[in-house]
Amino acid sequence: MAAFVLRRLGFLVVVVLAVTVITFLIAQAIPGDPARVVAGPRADAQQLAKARHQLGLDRPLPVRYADYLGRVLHGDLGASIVTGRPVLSELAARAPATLELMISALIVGVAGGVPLGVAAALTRGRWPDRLIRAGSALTISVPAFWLGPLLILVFYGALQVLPGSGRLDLDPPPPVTGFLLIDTLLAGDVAAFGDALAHLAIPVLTLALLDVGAIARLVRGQMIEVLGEDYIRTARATGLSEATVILRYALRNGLTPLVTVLGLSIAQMLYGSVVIESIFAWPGDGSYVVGAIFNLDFPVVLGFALVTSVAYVVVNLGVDLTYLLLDPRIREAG
Amino acid sequence: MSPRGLNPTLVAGLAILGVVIGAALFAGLLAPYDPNAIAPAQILQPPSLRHVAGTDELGRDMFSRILYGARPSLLVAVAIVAIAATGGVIIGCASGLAGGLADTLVMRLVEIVMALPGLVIALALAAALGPSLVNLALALGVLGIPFYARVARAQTLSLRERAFVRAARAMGASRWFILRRHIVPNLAPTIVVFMSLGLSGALLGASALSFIGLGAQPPMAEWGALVNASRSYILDDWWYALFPGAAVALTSFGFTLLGDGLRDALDPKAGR
Repeated sequence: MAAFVLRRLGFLVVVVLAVTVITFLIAQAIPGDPARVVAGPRADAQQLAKARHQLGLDRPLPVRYADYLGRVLHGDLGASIVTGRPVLSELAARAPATLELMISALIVGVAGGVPLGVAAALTRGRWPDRLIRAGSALTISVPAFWLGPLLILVFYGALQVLPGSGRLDLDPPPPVTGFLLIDTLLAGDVAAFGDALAHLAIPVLTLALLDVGAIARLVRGQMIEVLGEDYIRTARATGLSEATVILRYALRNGLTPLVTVLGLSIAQMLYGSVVIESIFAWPGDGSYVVGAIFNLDFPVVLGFALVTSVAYVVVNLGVDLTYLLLDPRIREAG
Repeated sequence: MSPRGLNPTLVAGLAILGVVIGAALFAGLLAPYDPNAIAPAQILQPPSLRHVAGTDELGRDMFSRILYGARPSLLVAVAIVAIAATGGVIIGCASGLAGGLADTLVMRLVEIVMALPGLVIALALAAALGPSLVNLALALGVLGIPFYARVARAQTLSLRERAFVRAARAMGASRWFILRRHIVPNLAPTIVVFMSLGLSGALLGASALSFIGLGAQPPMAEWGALVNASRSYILDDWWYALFPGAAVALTSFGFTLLGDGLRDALDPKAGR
């Protein structure tokens, strides 16, 4: 098991290095000459060469990469061209909004997808199964940038029961965690808590709906596999009630791979949140990076790619290790 | 079950895609208006007999724009999958046939790229290259290569040991001949299933990047870009976002059904 953990940690280091290579190379692909920007449009060849030297652009690519890597490892992702502030602190300031959205959507998605997947497995081949499978094929096909506006149209436009954009209309609570649901409760502000919850509703529903189908599909497959195992037949043969067989035996083993789904869902949501945040004017990293793309604020765009990629890889490592703890077969095999 | 190859999922998928591809091919005949014709008197009209899908803020007929929009939308999805599959099959087969250190290195690289959130990297790459459909297809296509490479390599490894390939090798067939005559044809069904399932993701990914503003540029009527243009009008002019988004959902659903259906038809053991 120790060998497995070490191997995974080694892989993590390699992948993180690969991410830095990729963002470094993408930065080289950006059109425009930084030296020209620094030296000004009227600079002659000599001034341009001097600017290139000052910026270190005349050094070989590997040297510049090493330099870049050194800065990244010290948490220096450069400064935003628009605000001049460090990219990392700009991203960190908006991270709680994004995380609150993603975590809420993940909870709702799992709460919806798991029962649907189990129900489909138990009614395999009959109409509830067919309905759930058709439904999940449909939700997998729906684009987030369409579902979001439609839900705004229904719940905000037509029914007028939920707010259509932003995180909060009332005065914000004193910031502690940055998660509004937690901060409002800490401040004892029930009205603001309700307001934050209402603002979360449509974006969370949009993200979760897109994920429910994928989760249900996977849970169904796993449950069908588990239900065919010998120990399930044995449990049934001993006269245990169907409820006990399902809840005590099948579900426990059928849900272990769910940890893996969570890893995949997070990848989906990282990207989904970019679209969803820009639709709902959600003040998180996703809408920030879309703005940065338009302002040609490349340090922010690349910093976002770097930070989310690293976060994603780390989360997946956590998923693998959790899986290891949950499934003794893998633990033994190490 | 119905006879193999004609399962209902496959038929439904083919029917949907038939309509969409027909719309793309015959947009010139089917569209009642020029998709880019501006009509100041017809601004933001709700659906009617004259404009079945309404009009946009410049009075352009949305039905015509959606029909013409099928062209860039489908082309980009196909281009992404073609880039990913071609690159992946070449790399995967070469790696599998070469074996040894080269194979190990290539597969490590594939593993690393697959561990990354591809769409986020594609977003950064497309942003750096500048907004255009070609750059978008390149970014998404290249990031799709590892998935096909892995499948192609696994298949190559198992095919390489099959009796007919060993016989061909014993008879002195060259590597290139074996690849062309034995590996690629036997690889094709698996790759085709992967491609049809991949088309749905490619369409969704490409139209989402276009929605953000990284793909098609005005006045091109790509579907994602159409939904993007509708954003300020969502509350008052519901039809504007509804129809182009529905076109993406329908087409993507068609690709998913096609993929599921092909998988069931070609490999009866999978699914069910």
